Amino acid sequence: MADAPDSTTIFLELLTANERRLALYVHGLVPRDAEAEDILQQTKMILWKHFGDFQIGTNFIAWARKIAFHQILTHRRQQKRAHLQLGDEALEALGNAVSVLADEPSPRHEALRTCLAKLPIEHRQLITLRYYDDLEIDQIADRVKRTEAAIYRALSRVRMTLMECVQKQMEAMS
Amino acid sequence: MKPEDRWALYELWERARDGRLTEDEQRALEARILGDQEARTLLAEAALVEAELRHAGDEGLPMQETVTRRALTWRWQHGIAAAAAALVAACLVWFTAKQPAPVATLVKAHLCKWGNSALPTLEGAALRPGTLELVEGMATLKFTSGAEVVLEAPVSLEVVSAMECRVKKGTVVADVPHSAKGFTIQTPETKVVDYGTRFGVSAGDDGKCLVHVIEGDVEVSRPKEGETVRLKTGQRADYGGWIQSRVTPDQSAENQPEPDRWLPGPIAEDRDGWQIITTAFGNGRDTCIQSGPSAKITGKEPFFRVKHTTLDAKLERKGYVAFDLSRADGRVAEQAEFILHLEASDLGFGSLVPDAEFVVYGLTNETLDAWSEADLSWQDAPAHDQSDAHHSVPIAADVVRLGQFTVPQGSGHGVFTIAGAPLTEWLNQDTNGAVTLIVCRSTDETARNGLVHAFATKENLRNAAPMLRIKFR
Repeated sequence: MADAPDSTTIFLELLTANERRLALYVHGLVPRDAEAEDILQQTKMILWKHFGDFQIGTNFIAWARKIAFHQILTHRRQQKRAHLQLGDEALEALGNAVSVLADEPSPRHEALRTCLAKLPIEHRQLITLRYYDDLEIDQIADRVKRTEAAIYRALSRVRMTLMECVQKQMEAMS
Repeated sequence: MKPEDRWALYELWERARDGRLTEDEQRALEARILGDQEARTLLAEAALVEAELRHAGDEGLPMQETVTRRALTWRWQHGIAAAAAALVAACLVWFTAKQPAPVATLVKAHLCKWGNSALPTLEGAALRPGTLELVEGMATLKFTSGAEVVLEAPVSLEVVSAMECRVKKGTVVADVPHSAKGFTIQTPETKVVDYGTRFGVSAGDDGKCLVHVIEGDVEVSRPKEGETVRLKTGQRADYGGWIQSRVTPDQSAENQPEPDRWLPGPIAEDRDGWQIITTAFGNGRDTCIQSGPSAKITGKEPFFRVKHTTLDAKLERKGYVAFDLSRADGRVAEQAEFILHLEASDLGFGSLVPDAEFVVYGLTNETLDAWSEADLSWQDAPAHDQSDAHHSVPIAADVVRLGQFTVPQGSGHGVFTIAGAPLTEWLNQDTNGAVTLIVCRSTDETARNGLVHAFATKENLRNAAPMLRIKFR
């Protein structure tokens, strides 16, 4: 065997090390789970295909995010409903802010775990329906027998509670 | 940013996710993202948390048992070297470890109010192993084995697997098709294995359990007692004295009364370290004895009667109340109260009895604690003999006086409590896990046919059973 690892091994190592951050970036900017997964898969394909263009030693995650962002733009031209209702410029600004936050080491995952456990059961159910089951708002309204406007209010209220808790937890942990 | 502003921002964000913004709202949101760093960071943080929620759900967030993740579709349309594809695929699969599959579905929730359940409680929810607590209403679970279990509130049930659940306390009815033969319901001390049938189980956390076979046949075993019985349609096994025969199943389904069911309350945590034990818990008992031979007392009345009269030797009555202290586990009581609920009496005239004083005694002769509700009588009650001297006073050598309370003339309801050092000390001297209290009226009637006082027993449906409140050290 050669002393230097081949490019497949290097690619897999880099992808493995950055997989989670890449996934968080895409899932953060694409609200529909299935759509986000599709984009992730295609992004990985392209990363592999164009790995020759990547200069080893430079920032892999930045390169990967750039390619992912272009994939998101391509996808949302075809699948408008599955994407955030924002112009390209605002989406890019948001994406940059997400990258900055994600690159700071912070116990967000642990904080979230603690905070989810603290939520009242009805709130957790809303979160389940919205973020795991990926239901449309009218389906959620139907399930819990409330109006869509009330669901939006409830969701933003739950989000606010959760975000405040996560913020506090992260501060307490770091 | 003010909380209202943040809330409004999050609401815009929620709707942007669904493409539900008006043009003006979209412009406003874009302006915030581009021009307001605080808003941009808030939303980025929200997006990240959301991504953690969804993407990282596989890594053990507390949500995960409620998640039904769709199978991920892999799209490898582009040409790529097969070997590298396999390598990459192997690496990717590693990131999507699978959850244990759901074992039941909550198919129906009728007028349900749920307690602190670890499982989702919406109709249609897929349930992985975990606990459900139903406070009100009826809910139906369909296990993947085909077994259906109806939860009748109040009930606390643990879903264990497609073939097993555990009733911690409460009542369920199981409908088990042939395909799920062998479906098992565990209760704290009893195991019920089904052989294709419909049956009800009611269990308490103190080990009491009643099994009633509506149709078919089941096997009931009590490992502690090394006992196994096979029940057929209409038969019951009653561990806990709800019905007369303890273990023997009823021979026929005809002329059966309705089966009893567990209700909460026999032992409960109260505030500030107080615990409540009622006579409904464990080996608790409450009844009365009467001097006349004609008195028929079964021990199942919804009240026990107490009276003192020097005018009719057949109508003296004393109350006997016993509590199961096995849960005290040798802990030392710091404070204690004994509480009785007065019932409106159906016998005698209130005008003929003045304010009535009741004295409560504690049995100190522990060899006498094992009396039975069903056949306690004027002839053989603990700390009692038939002499005139003991018509309204127990035998002094066997008891200690714990306290007294006064019921105002004509009163037909109210809560009466005794407390204090004698009660606490006497409870702490208990060595056999059971205590007996004797309730006597020291006030005589002024003429015959005076009021007979009645106090609620554990069989009473309106008033609380006699209870001990104990604060342990």
